[in-house]
Amino acid sequence: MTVARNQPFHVQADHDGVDTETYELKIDGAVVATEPVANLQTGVITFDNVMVTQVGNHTAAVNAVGPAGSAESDPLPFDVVPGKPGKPTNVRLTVV
Amino acid sequence: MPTKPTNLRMGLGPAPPPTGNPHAHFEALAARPDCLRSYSLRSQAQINSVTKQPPNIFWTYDPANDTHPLKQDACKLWKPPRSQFTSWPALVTHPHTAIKSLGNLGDETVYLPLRLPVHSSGSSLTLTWDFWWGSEFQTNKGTVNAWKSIYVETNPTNPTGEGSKTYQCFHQLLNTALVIPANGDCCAHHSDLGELGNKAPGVTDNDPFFPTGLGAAPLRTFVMQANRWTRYLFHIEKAVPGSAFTSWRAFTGADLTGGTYDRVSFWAWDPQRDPVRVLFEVPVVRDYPFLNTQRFSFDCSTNNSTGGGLIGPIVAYARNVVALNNAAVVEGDPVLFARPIAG
Repeated sequence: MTVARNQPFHVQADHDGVDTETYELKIDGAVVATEPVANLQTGVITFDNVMVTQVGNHTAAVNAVGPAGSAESDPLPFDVVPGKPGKPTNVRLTVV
Repeated sequence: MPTKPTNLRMGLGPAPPPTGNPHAHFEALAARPDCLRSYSLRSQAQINSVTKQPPNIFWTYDPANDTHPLKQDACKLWKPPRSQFTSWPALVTHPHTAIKSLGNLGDETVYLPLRLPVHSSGSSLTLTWDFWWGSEFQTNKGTVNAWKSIYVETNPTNPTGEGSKTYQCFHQLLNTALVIPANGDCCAHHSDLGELGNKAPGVTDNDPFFPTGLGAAPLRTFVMQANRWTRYLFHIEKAVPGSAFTSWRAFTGADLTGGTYDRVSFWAWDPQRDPVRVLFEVPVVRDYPFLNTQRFSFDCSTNNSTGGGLIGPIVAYARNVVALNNAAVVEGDPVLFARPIAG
């Protein structure tokens, strides 16, 4: 999947919630968001409003964390590409 | 130890609402041993059984003949403006004279409330239900600006009799935003947070200040979205000694004095949003001993006798009421606090 820099996206994974307290979303191995197991809905955990600022190749993974340990999903590769430039504002004329 | 999450996937923008069995939450809770009463409200016979003057014509379950474009598998509230009562066949032919004779002038109250017996006898009562506010509450509101909608009623002497004295009362305010039918400020009307005008120290009519501070009611407001299921959970721990209100003491710096109080918490959430603490461990004075009934009522003080009232029908759906006895309510419980699913 390809997303534009700073474009919000969501990440979902399937899980049974057993022996789990929280879920971590890792981007390139670093935890960027957590969700409590309470937010597991019909076996799906969702991370909304994820954004990545660095253009390039990345990986996402979801880690289920419980009191006795954790288990991490297989990584999902994705690419971040430059986004559309923002609109210039405050255009002004100066007489010289 | 957890198993590995699987089927990792991504998508642009926010995730779509969850799908699945819309009644899974109800079925799971109704099967628990601590379930006191459960009402799916998905049967006209059940709806009529909790109606004082049946059949109920305001609250109905008939999905096969429901013509609403967003119809739900749930008990439907449909109420025309009072000005149309005399041309509403189901009303003018109703077997009860008091209903049949409702004329075209008067307030816009829904005249056949649902009174669901819960007959709570344990040390705590937990109530949860789903409610879907149609956008008609906003677009057809006319001059109606608030609804008293959900009550828990008490009885002074009878543990199984119909409740009469209102213990809790939630106003659903209607604001000016077109997409929001009800402001959702469930703690806006707290003159009934404590019966007979008696209140715990620190609790005012309009602002029981825990957990976010006096004057912070807007911060814990849950703004309900039109045409979306909202789930509610209401937890009443009965007759708790003032000294046991540890969270209250931590916030106020002083013990709660004056005897025992009910400790009341209330959450609201929907398919896209996490539960919000509207009330959390607020001390409440209850003067009558028996918590007997939950009432879906929809009273308002606006009437068309002076040129006001609704300008079109209001539509809502209710479903899946469960009363639990002595339940442990822990925020984050994946069953109790599961998000509602459309359907």
